[in-house]
Amino acid sequence: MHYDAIVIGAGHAGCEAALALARTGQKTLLITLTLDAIAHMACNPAIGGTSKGHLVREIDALGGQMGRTIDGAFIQSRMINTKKGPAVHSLRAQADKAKYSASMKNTLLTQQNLTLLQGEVSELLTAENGSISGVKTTHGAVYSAKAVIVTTGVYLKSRILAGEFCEETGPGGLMRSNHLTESIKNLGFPIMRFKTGTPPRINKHTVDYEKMEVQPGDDPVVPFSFLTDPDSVQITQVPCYLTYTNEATHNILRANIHRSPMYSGVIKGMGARYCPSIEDKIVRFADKERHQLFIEPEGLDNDELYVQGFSSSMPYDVQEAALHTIPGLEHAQITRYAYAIEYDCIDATALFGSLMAKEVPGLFFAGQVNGSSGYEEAAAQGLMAGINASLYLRGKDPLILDRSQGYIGVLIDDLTTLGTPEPYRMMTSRAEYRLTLRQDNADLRLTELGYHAGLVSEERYAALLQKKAALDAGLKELEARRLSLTEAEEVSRAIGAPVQSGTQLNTLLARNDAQLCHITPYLTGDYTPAVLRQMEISTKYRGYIQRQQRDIEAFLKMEHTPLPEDMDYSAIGSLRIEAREKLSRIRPRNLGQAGRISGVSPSDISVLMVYLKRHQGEEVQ
Amino acid sequence: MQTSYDHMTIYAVSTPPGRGGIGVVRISGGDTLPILRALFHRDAFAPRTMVYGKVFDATGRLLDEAMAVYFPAPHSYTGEDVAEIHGHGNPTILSAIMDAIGTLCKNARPADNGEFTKRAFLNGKMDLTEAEAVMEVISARSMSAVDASLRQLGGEVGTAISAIRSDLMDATAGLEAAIDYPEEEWEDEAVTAAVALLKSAQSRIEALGLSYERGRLVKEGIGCTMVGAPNAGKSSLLNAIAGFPRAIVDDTPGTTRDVLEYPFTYMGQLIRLYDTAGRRDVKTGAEAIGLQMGEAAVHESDIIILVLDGAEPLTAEDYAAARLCMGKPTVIAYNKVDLGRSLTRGELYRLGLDAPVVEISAKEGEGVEELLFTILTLSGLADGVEDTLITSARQRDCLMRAKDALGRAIDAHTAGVPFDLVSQDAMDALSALYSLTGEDPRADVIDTIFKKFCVGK
Repeated sequence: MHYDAIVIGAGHAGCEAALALARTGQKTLLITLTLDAIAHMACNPAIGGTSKGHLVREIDALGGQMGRTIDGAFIQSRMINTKKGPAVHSLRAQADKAKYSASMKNTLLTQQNLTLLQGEVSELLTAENGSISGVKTTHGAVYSAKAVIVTTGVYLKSRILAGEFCEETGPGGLMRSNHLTESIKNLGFPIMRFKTGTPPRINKHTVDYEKMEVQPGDDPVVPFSFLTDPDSVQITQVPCYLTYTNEATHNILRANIHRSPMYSGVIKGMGARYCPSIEDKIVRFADKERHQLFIEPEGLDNDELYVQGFSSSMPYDVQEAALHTIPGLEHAQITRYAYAIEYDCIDATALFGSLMAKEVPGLFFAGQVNGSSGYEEAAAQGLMAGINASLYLRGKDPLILDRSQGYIGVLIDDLTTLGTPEPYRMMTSRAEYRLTLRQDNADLRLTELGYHAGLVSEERYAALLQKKAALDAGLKELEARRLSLTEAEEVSRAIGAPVQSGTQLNTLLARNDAQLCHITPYLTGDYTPAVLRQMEISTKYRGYIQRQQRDIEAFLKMEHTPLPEDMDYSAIGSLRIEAREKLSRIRPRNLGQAGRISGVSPSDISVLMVYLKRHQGEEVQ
Repeated sequence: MQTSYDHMTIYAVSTPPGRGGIGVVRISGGDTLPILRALFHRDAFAPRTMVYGKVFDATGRLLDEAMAVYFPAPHSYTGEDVAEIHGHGNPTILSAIMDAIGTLCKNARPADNGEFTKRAFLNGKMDLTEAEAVMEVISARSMSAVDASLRQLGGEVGTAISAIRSDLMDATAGLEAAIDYPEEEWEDEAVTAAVALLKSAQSRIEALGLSYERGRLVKEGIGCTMVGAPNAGKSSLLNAIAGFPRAIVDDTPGTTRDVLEYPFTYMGQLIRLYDTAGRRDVKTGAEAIGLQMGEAAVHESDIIILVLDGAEPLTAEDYAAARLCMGKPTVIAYNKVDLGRSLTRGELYRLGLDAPVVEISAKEGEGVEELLFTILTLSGLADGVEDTLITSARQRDCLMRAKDALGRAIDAHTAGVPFDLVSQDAMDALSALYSLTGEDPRADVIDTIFKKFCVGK
């Protein structure tokens, strides 16, 4: 059977990839191991959080699905980091994971151009010229396509471990993918082995809530998607709870540390430092008296709770004993034990920034198979791989977001330029242009690109242009409008500090003691709350943003200096040897990317600049 | 960031180190004209035309009288806007001009080795066949420069910078951890600790900045000028120093401007003694001393020796000479003690100088050693500090950038500015320190977060 494109795996990356392809008119087949785990949340029942919330906003701004689905399936929502400034505000929603999965499945099944199929892909097929030509399943069926996206998550030859227990399955006992690794390896990709883990789930009827701190959701709730009507998300929310480990917990874990497969050396996979198991925390931070645990409901109609902070690969009896020392969890029944999971993934430096394989045209990789971790990181890559596979099929240039355009750009650039020695989690600290890449302006940054990629409707695009125009007008008004003597006195009374007559509104708003409400009475334009908020941030942060803008301009100069794909680095004697090797292997697409490769120094970049100049000169002659 | 680093305006002294009649500071890049305007306090610079003027620093202090020529892009050596400032070939002044450029323009930095050449090549100002040579120059010079800076970081300066860098890293990681992992128990504690580290780093960087000043003196020598009334005994003091067995004096004095220079070393330290007494066209009287003889030499000096005749009461000329010393590190040479001490401490106090007094007899050669040692003390070099010095303009530039960013971070935090901005300033400070060794701190910040804080679900 023939399709335009095939996506392997219907996790968070696969769903975005398949939808992006189908929505841009590509006849797409989505094959997954089980249709009962579409967009499955195998770990915590939440979407968003610091930097991940940014990713969801960006996915939505580009025309992806995740934000829309979570807006219809959340049971609690909070904007976190609100005290730390708008650049790091992050939205985090507790999901009803069953509802999220069902809703995504419905979206897939009702999507035009998209076919959903249960099955295990065992082989990637290539044409004579080396480009991808289709896939083969364990049923023996062959499906041909000019573009294939591998989004296999943590399912490649995975095994789960807890103490002496070890089983070759996917997460939570789901089927794993047994054969695809070999096929990927045969195509020349280096395979790595990563490790991550998940905490136990417990029966919510066996928990003493009185002994824990309750954490309610926000009122009002801010939706993830720019398309969602804010009124529609003001629902009755479910609380989460906080509790803490103590010395008794630590003693039990410490006494049994030799039974952890991490410490006994059974686990070979590279674990993530940002997701330490509870036993890891106790060993590495021995002087900490307690660790915070966060109890999250798994859904409205789901009676299980997720014990965030208690990820473990200890044997079942140790898990039981340790958990029961925790206030509120003394009698908690474990419904599913915590476990560590090992899986195969590729070194993403084998990919272009478009996520297409450098050596196999038409073959794309996205999500945890690229060494990332997290639903949002996966979805972001899935969306970009879907967009780029579609552009590839239509013979167009790829859409590669750079580091100044979005967290998505940072994520994919880090993975494909530097690679990652451990499962890669997005962090705001990784984004050097963090002040510009805010969750509140994702639409202003990216929706136009989503429109050109074919994922944003005319209607939404028109609304964006209108918003941009309103913002421009608003900023002009802030600049032009000055306070009269009476007005200055009014404001001065309101903020309790002197304000001079003739002060421009933007100067006033830039002050630490002035708020938006102090200037709105003097504005004549009719601005939506979202536009007013942008006016406020642009004004208050102007100095910093301008400085960052200069950095971005310099950065873009380097990004826009392309390096020829066939460049022979080994012939450039003035490059240091390490730089020559790294550049030959990664084959960066521009000078900026070259400069970020570890082992390439500023002087190597200078040498490349001179070399390029001569190269161009020779071409002209 | 390295990338933006590459698009900054660069400047360097382009005449060979050491003293010559003329010293040229060359500037290249988009901010050249604004820098010229700020230095010379004038707006118009006709292209490719020598202009004469006075050079001022950011505080309005007069640094030198110099010629400047401005070459707008693309008709310049590098193809960018270029300026050359032809000042006096005095290392102290050239350094001061370099520092003034760095202070006046945030987008300017000292040039790397070979960088003017590199820019000239990139902008099509050199023959393409020269590419290989240019690449060789870049890689060879940069390697030796990196080597030098690493070696330097191994010494006491290195230890000091490493310690500051490590504290700043902890501070930044603390702020970043609080941002990326909010609502953890340790959040407030981490932030408080981070802010304290920022403050201590700031004061230590200031101290290192001062060591740059000492480093410069070690490298270039201490410039000393004697001022005083014509009969106070400057020439005899000069002779006394020349005859002092532990001072090695050049046989042939060099001449800058109209001032004689006598370089000599004392305790291994180069001291350049300027003598204004050689000028014979000077009219006598207070006005002449103040305006003609002393002013220029004083500007070029690090230390002033005010020579007074201790056997006579203060004269108007003495007061005029003392006024020249205002604001400059000064030592008072209380001369002619062999003839008696009629000048009282009370009278000295009326000169309004905060300066040590050394009693000497230039004629008898007494007190010379104490005078020389006082000069070293005033320069901060009496204790032999060779290893703890910042000597290169580039190092100083990185430190000053770090200091500025830290100042912004602390001010912002004090003013209650949100964290996303404070942490930006802290990261800028850290990046500036990392740029000393051509590195980027971001990956280390993330490593430190995981090392120091128990984060994650």
